[in-house]
Amino acid sequence: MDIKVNVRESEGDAYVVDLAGEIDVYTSPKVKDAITELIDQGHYNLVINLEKVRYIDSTGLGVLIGGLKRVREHGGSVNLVCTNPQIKKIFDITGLVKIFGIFDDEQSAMKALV
Amino acid sequence: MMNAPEPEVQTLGVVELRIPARAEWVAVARLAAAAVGSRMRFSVDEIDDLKLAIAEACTNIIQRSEGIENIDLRWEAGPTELRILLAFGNLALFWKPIVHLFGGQYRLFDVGGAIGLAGMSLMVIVFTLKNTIRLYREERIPQ
Repeated sequence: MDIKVNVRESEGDAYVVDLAGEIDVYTSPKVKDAITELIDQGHYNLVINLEKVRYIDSTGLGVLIGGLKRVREHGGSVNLVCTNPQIKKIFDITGLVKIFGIFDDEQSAMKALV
Repeated sequence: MMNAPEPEVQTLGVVELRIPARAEWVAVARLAAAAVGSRMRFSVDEIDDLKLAIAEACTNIIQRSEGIENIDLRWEAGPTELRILLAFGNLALFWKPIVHLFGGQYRLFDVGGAIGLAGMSLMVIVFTLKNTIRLYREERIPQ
């Protein structure tokens, strides 16, 4: 059980963080490190791709919220790409659908950043 | 053409799992929860809910409790329900128990001992008073 994190530059100043695997109390620090590093480097427009994420718990949600809070302080935003109904359900239950922009594909998430 | 017979629902019995109370073992609890849910013929959504509930409970224990050694999980299927018992024991009480009270840090053992001593002292005072009053009532000093 691990998480794969891949960070890549996209159009403009935006960066995409591809995540694959399960985000829980054990793996979420790795995700947090990747997001924090990007923000520390001055990248405030992020798309986090959760298409290959099979599971996320409260610690994972905490990392995403922490990232969103930090980028918003600098006028940036975080959009999520999520197609997995189980993951979407968690965002629904927790009410985070109102906080994050959640999109079905990367192009739409990127467009919404600009 | 004959239809394949429906496989019988297997009785679950009791499933017990002990994991170290560390982040890397929560996934094992989650897998076990999924296996139990699957055996009980839960739907995919129900299994996800079960996994999430177990994982969140374990995560809470790991994050909020200091010095917890193990987490014990026990699943037991009843005729209409699945009972889950989640227990954790604090063996560290005797060597690294720190609690925060009134802005200070204290040993849990000391706090427990202080409460016990206070209780016993209170009992001594109450019973001394009670017995003294009783003694005075029953054996009055002649005037």
